[in-house]
Amino acid sequence: MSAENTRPIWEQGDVNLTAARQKYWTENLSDQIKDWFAKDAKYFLHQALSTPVMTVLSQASGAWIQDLDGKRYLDMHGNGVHNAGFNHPRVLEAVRRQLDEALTFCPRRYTNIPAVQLAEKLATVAPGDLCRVLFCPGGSEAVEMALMLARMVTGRFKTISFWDAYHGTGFGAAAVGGEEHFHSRVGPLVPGAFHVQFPDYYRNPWGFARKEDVDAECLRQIEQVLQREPEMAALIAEPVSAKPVVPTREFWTGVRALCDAYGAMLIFDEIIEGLGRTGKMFACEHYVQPDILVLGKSLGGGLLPFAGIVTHEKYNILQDRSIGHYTHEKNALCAAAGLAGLEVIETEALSQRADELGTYFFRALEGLRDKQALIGNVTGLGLHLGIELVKDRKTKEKAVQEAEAVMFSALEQGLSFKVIDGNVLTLRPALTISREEIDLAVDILDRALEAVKSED
Amino acid sequence: MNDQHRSEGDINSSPQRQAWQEQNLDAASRALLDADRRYFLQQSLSTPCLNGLQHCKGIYLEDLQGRRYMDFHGNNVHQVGFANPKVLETIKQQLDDCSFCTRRYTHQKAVDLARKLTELAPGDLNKVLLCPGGTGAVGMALKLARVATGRHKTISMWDSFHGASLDAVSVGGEDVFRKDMGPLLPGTEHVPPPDEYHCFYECYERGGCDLMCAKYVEYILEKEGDIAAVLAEPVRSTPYIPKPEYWQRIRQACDRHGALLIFDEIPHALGRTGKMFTCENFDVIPDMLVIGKGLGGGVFPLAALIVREKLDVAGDRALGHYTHEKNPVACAAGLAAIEYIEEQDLAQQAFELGRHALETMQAMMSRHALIGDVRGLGLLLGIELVKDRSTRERAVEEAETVMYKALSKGLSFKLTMGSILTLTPPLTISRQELDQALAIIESCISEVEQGDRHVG
Repeated sequence: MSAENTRPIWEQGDVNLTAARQKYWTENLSDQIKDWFAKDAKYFLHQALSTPVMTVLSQASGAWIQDLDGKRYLDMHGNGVHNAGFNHPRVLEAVRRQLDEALTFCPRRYTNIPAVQLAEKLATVAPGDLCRVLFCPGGSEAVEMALMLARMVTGRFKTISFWDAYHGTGFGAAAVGGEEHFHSRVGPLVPGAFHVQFPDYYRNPWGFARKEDVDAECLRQIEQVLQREPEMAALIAEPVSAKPVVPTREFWTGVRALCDAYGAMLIFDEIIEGLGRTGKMFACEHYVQPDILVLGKSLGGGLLPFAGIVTHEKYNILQDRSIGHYTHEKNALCAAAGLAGLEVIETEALSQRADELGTYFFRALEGLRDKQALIGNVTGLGLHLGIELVKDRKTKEKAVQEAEAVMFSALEQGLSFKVIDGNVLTLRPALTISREEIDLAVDILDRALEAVKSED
Repeated sequence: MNDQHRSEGDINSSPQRQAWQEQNLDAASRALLDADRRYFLQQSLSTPCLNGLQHCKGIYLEDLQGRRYMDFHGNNVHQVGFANPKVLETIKQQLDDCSFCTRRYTHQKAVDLARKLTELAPGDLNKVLLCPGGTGAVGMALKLARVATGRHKTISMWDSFHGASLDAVSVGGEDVFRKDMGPLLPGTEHVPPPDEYHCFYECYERGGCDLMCAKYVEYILEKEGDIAAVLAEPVRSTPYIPKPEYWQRIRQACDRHGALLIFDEIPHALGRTGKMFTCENFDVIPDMLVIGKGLGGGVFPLAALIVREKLDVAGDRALGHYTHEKNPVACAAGLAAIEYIEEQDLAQQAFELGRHALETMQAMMSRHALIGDVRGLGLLLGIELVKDRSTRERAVEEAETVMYKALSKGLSFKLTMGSILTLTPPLTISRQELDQALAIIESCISEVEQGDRHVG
């Protein structure tokens, strides 16, 4: 199978049907795991990026996950829910207390104290005058609420978003997403979704080496669409991409100015990047203030599904319309977990920790780049890091098979992470991770890279 | 007041609501509602909220002032009652054991729940995909229908609700979600629902349902020729309860024209209608079954898509890339709820109590001219209020008044279409409590008939 033929399925995550994964299954699954693994494959509808799964878990705690055989893995993926770590005692305690209170679900025509407290908390910590909140169970739905709010506020429906972005699986969220996995063979999506390129300073089709040239080209693309489609409702993006690419402040300042000039709303999807991950409570604090902020994943405290949007007072204009009629809009248990998760992030100063340990991790990875030729680039912000593997640093040809091999080698050594775009190892540990655990991860990566190098 | 906003639920800004709140809420409750209004984005059918709650337990809501209300709405999550001890105990155990599982891995509880659902679901509905909310599950169903058929068009029903995202409101039929929202998904044909009492084809003029509504669905399937799926709630919450022949006829027409039949049983599956799944009342097996709400045990956000074995055809696509696809706590809660429903034989209980309630409601109808129709299937019950039985004009203001009067007497329920008292109690309710609730409704109806519009 040539690398080019597999191109379309590299996007959001590692592919679950490669030869390397088959080999991993054959060599690593015990009988007891195989049994559950087979049942999983039997009862679940198969889809890319999940079923068939990697293996069977029995625990998730702190920065670690553990399989049925008791083998532990330092988890650098965590689906982004683990900013406060998995199974944080304070979150668990808050959840147990809420269960004992006999206030878990709350019908949505009523309100309750935990739901209001979480909304109040977000209004307090969100930048600027972002102070109006709406909750729903998942980030995909929250993205849809943001898109629907933008439609109601502007009276327009078109959007600009970025290729390779992931915003969720609903048809609205998939339409603004930019991945083949979620676009093709599913027929027409929500109309009016225009896509442009996200800046990539390491790898861009123009061969630009200077950030300002990349920014200028990407801004030019956005402006070009806006000139031809001036009735734009919104531009939606992750301020830092999942890969990650960390745009310059100038880029987002330029986008903000274009949005303002054309009356389009700026929506930041911080489902992954928000709540401390990038070294600030919200990734947008590195850049500009959006009109709508979308949160999810870690908002559920690492165990419950919860997501939402935060927007300006002036956009509180719905009243006779419904943009998010979600059953669990006021779920007190989810709110209590979210609130406890936020309190952990604040009291343990996890944003600052992400900043400091992110820098430490980043430097260690740069050190690794000096000795491992496979590493073409190290990028990231806070504890949202990525290593791009290349066959040749000059041509920057993606080292796809090598990335897959490194992932499985690392997994065998107790380090779990996800590969994105085929050759980028994405490293997003719990923000509670220790320096020693980072050292361990770097050692494992080093050994995995070394092993793959010698295989070549 | 705009009648068009009355489909899905009671509106949150009526004079009756204001009057009720003025007479019933103390300073602490008002302070919470003010804070709720301050931080949450307002939208119809939720914020501003009616009241604040401090407990939801068994069949009762309890507000901040310690008043208890039997909840005959519960957003339909409460088949096993709120804060069901078995569900809560299971959740606590699962929190001790493993609180989260990332979606590239699986967990025993997820597999157990999937297996349980395939065992319970009729026919060869044998493949499952989980996500946090019903809206997401509807989106997954639509995507799979497109991938499986290579078509994209759908037939769904006016007045239906399938969720709040852009795709779900495209197939939904309520203007509170659709109006002014701009372009939605293309190819979504809509038909009038099978509502014998207000039949669009006026079948009541001809002695009752003659399946004209089903014939119209057949007509579109034939005319379009490339419909991917018919998506509908087998019984609308209102409730509209079609004849079995209605669904049997559409099932056959779908087969004839290569369309899939998708049943959205999010609000009513898991026992409410007297059977585990609503479709079992009609002897029709859909190609896909979407469930949610009560699946989370009345605590957790959890939904599932259950499809026929032959539809496991999207292994290389992402149908639902949901973070909480394999959440062990959610799955444990779901399993506990299903076990409780089975152990207590709640489906049979719903069947028997439902029959008893319907008889009581029929007797009430003979005593009250305000009641135009009573309907029910299991513990999904509806009392439709009319100004005049011959014109069937909806008694909107009267229904609103009855609702707030009932609230003052300790009974909470929702209005649909402005004039239908929609009654969905927990399936754990006793016969005595059910009688008590119906007696409250009757006394409120009597008061309104006597011109007493006092809601305090």
